[in-house]
Formats: sequence, structure tokens, C-alpha cells
Amino acid sequence: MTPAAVLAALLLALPPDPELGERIYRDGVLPSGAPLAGVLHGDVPVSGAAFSCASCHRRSGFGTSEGGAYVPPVTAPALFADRRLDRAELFRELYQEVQPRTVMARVRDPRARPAYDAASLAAVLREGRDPTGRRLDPLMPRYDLGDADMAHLTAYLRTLSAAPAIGVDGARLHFATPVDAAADPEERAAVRAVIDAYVRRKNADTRGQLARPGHSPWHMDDFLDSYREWVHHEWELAGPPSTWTAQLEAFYAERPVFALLGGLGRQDWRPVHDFCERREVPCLFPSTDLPVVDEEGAYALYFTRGLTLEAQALARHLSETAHGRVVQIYRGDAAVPARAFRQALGDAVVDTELDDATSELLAETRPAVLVLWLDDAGLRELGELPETVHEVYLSSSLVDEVPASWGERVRLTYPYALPGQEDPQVYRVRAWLRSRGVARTHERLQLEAYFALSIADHALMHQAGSFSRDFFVESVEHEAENALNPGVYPRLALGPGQRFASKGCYVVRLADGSPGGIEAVGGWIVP
Amino acid sequence: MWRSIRSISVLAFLVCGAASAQGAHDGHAAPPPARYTRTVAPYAPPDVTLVDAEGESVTLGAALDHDGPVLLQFIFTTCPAVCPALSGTFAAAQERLEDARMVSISIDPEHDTPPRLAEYARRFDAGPRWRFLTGELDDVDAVRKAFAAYVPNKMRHQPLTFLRGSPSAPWVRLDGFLSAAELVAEVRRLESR
Repeated sequence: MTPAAVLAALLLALPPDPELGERIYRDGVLPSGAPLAGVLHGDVPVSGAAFSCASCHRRSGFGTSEGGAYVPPVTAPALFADRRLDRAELFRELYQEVQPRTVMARVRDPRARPAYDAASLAAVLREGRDPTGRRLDPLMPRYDLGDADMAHLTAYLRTLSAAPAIGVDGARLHFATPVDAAADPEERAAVRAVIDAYVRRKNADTRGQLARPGHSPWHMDDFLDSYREWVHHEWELAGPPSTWTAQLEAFYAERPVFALLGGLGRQDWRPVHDFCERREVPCLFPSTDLPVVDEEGAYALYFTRGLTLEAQALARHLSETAHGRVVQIYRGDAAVPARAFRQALGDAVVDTELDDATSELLAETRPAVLVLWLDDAGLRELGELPETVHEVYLSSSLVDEVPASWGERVRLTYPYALPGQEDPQVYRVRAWLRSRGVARTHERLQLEAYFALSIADHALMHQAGSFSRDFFVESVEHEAENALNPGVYPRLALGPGQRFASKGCYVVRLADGSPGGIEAVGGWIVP
Repeated sequence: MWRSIRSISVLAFLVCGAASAQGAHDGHAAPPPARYTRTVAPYAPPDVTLVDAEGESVTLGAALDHDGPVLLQFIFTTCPAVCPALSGTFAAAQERLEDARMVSISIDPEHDTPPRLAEYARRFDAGPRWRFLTGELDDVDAVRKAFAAYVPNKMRHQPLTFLRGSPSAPWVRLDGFLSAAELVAEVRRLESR
């Protein structure tokens, strides 16, 4: 017996293992370590992660309706039950946008089929023939799967999105907003006012929809299972981030939530990020300057890479313009952008943490360009700028007030839409806030919270009662680019696996007479 | 919102009937009908500068400037179903199209940096005649619009392949998915004219 045959025999002898099946499904890797291989379009050999099951059917198994291609659900409930026409199922494929004719036809095609079993599942994956004898679209690869591989994959598919989601029951959907206790109380109240108004409006609408059954001649009755009362919880995270993990776990043990929506952070966001990934809780769009940028998880989605993005954009800006010696000064958590800036610009940077020796260092190094990762208090502490400095770069995320005497030398990293150039949706959201009596005291944070809520709302309606967290994240990825941008950023867009919705940053200078008192120096930088 | 759902549903019903009558969806006829349509159009690629997977700037004109057949697709690297299927066809056909130049332009340029494009190219064993381009969003959008391939949400993009037999020939637009054999046949069809 050859070693390969021995290995094959051993693999066949293993009991079906859903974890091995999960690897086939998600990563396109067989238990032997070889890539999953198949044939697409009848004559295109394919293999590996780009053609894993999850690549098209997604991690949730709910499929997708990408332009021109309808990818049906392969969750356990979908595969292992008879398929019947279900209008609510159709709804989530149809309701967002106009679809190509072929996709519409495919979705509306009321084809029934019996439940799959192990044999018919093997037949459909290997030969592309379903239990009724129909051939699948050639866009579905015909896979080369041995019996043992099939058994592992089937064991996994029997679990795929089969368990009921956590944080939602037949009546209520719970979500939480994590709030750093160090955040400004006024900012917190401003954001809370938006969330309360949104939840109140959402629940009033839900009550209206649920009061209609029996009275409505419309097809909405089919979708009533999509509605839940939203219950919002605020999770206040006290003390240093090193203590947050225990606090998050305690909140979650007391009240498991479906998702975290929004959030307000002044310190390192990693404990929240890690909690979301560990508990598989979707965490949508917190207002934080310090997201986790060095590892992209499955559940934490952010507006931007925060201060790291600003640092990388600034390094790109400086590398394209002539400049003299660069010194950067930072304090506390702003070591994060300082590190990113140093990495991006290289050894040319002298950097120091703000302390008593800073003025000495400045006198010694005589910088032409000063990069300050400091807030207003830090700037006051620094005092006057050295004469040698031609340009001083600040972060608009950290600084509220630029020292008046610095004037023309000031540049700011600005990861937002320029004043006057916001997405027109901003006017709609402002009107919405005004009509609900929400004062716009901290507009950027309030619009960010509004986006987190509205895209969650949008995605959940799209799911039509299928409350899967993975599907929720996928729906958000799919819909982020639609017209929901409330104007804080020039453009918000995600795609499968993308975790940062806005990818660029401006450098601006102060300009009296320009909208917002600033104007861009150069274009939108995508580092 | 509900009103628009209703009208979409009605439209979908009507379209479904029409499509069913044509046997446009899978699962009925054998052999299966071609899954793409072919049209000829005088597209005028705009004068923009893009960036290739090595980070080098290249004008679109130079990227498409080739005496033989040019094949063009729009893709993005995180695309779940459509792009792997489009690029898979390029990958399988490239050995058989020795005289052709292949170009894949990212429609998600802010995410698809040159290193990400290079990784995508490796995933498909792209040979030296197959070039991947990204660039400024506005420039890429201008290219998509010039080829009547623009939709605001990239997740709704269509499977399209464009072919041109020579610099003076019009573009051929293939809407839908092709096998490698179908793609090679379409290219040969250009050359035989």
C-alpha cells in the first residue's frame, strides 16, 4: 500500500468531524491538507479558498445575490428540509434594488425539491445534479470530493446556521452600546439621545406592523416574522481597558445581546474587539480612534483604521512633498499612530513622548516639520512652536482648538468629508434628528451612531426573520455601499471580509472663508 | 419602502414569466444555452492613469495598446462569486491565448491596493500577459462608465468581459459567464475577421 493510500484509508476510518468539514467549507482545505478542487463552467479547473463553499455561500450559508449571480442558501435548515416556495425568503433577495432579469427569474422560480440526504448531497456537489434531477448552474463548481471528505462536510453542513441566534427571541432583539466611562458625559448624552430616538421610532413602527395581521390585504403579512421589539442596553466600561474584558463578560452573562451597535471609546478598543470575536457578536461601527487594525476579525466592523489611518496618510503626504527634519511628539495611547507613522516614513523621523525633556529635544533637533499626536491639553503643555518649524501637523480627531498663534503653519489630518462636500444624505438625517427633537450638539458622533443603527435596521429587514449573526455581518458588508452614508465620511463601502468602511484621509489647512474654516492640501489620500 | 417592494415584486413576476418562457434560468434545457450575450459597441476608453499590481503608473491607453486581441474584465479582490468565476475563465484560457493581452481592472480601488492585486493575481496563476490595474476611484469609475459597466454599489456589478481584436476594431461586450472554451472561441472569432 502506498503512503497516500494508507493516508486515504486512515482518513476514511475517521468518524465524520464537523470541524474538518468547516475547514473544507470556509477555507477550501481538505483534511489531507490539499486544496478543495473542482471544475467551473464545465472546463475551468479551480481550487482553494477562492472557490471554497464560503466564498459564494458565505460563512453563514445564507448565500448572496451578487449582480448577475444568485447563490442560494445552504444552511442546515435550507438543505435538510423539503424546499417550498416561501415569500419571506424571496423578499430578502428582491427588496433592496433592481436585480438583473436572470437573478429575478431564478429567485422567483418556485421550484420545490425534497430534503437532501448524504447521498443526494454528494451527488449535487460532485455532479451538479439536485434530488429532482435538475442540473445546477455551471457557476456552481463540480467538486472532486472523496467519501471521507463528503462525510466531514456533510457533518458540518448539518450544523450550519442551525442553532438559534443569541440575543433575540420571538418578541425582542437585544443590542448594546459599549461606552468608555472616560468619554465626555456630554458626548455620551448626545449619542444616547440619537439611539433612544431611533429605537423609539423603530419600535413604534414595529407595533404598527404587528397590529395589522388580519386587516392587511398586503403581502407584508408574510414578513411579520422579521419584526422584533428593539431593546437597547448601554454597557458602561469603567477604569482602564485592561479591566474591560471582565466587565464585558459580566454584561453579556447577564443579558446576551445579538450585536453591539455603535460605541464611544477614548482608550484602546482591543478588549471590546476581542470580546466580539471571541463571543461571535457583531460589533458595528463604534466611534473610536483606536480600533484594532493589525488583525481583521469576522465580527468587528469600523468606520476607519482611526489614528493609524491618519498616520499612514500623513506619511504618504510627506513622502510626496519636500520637507526637512521631521520630529513627532505623542502621549499615552497616541503611541499607536506614532508607531504607524514611524513605520510608514522610516528612520527619517525623530520621535519622543511629551515630557519635561521635549523642549530640549526640539532645540537640539531644530525640526522643520513637527507632527503632534496630542490633544488640546497636550498642545497647551507643549507651549510655543520653535522658530524652525515650517509646518506642524495635528490630528483633527484629537484636537478641538488649534492654538491661535500657530496660524498658517498648521496642517491637520482630516479623515472626514470636507465641510460642504458631505453626502446629501446628511440633510435627511439632520432633518430626522430635528423632527425628533434631538439637538445636534456633537454632530459627528451622532451621525456615526445613526449610521450604526440605520445599517443594522436595513440589514435586519433584508434578512427577513433569519436572525443569524454571520448573515447579519454579511448583509452589512453587502449594503454598506448603498445610500446610507450620513455624511461624516466621503464614502462608506465594505465587501466580503472588509472591516474598514472609509479608507482614506485628507490633509487640510486653516482657511478663513472656506466652509468649516479649512481647505484640503492635495487630494484624498488612500494609504 | 413597502410600495416599492410591491412594485418590484410585480415587476419580478412579469419578468419571471418572460424569462421562464425563454428558458433563461438553469435546469431545463439540455444542452444548456449559452449563458452570455454578445454585442458590439464603439466604447471610448477615457484618458486616465491607473496603477498596476507592482505599483507602477500606467495610462489606460498604454495598458490596452496591443496589436492583437485585448480582453478586459472588471473585478474586485473580495468579490464572493462573480469575480472568481470571471478570473477563473481568464486563468484557464490564458495558455491558449498566447497572442492576447488580458486586463483586469479593480472596481474597488480604495481597498484593492497593488499588493492586494498582486496576491489576487497569484491566486489565479496569472501569467505575464495578464495585467491587474487599480487607481483613483474617480478614474476607475470613469472607465466603468465608458464601458457601460457602472453601478453605484459594487456588490451589484455584472459579469462582463470585453474583447477587442485590434486597436482599430470595436469592442465586443460579453454579458454573462463563459467557459474557457467559449472565451477562446470568441477571441478566435475576432481574429478571423
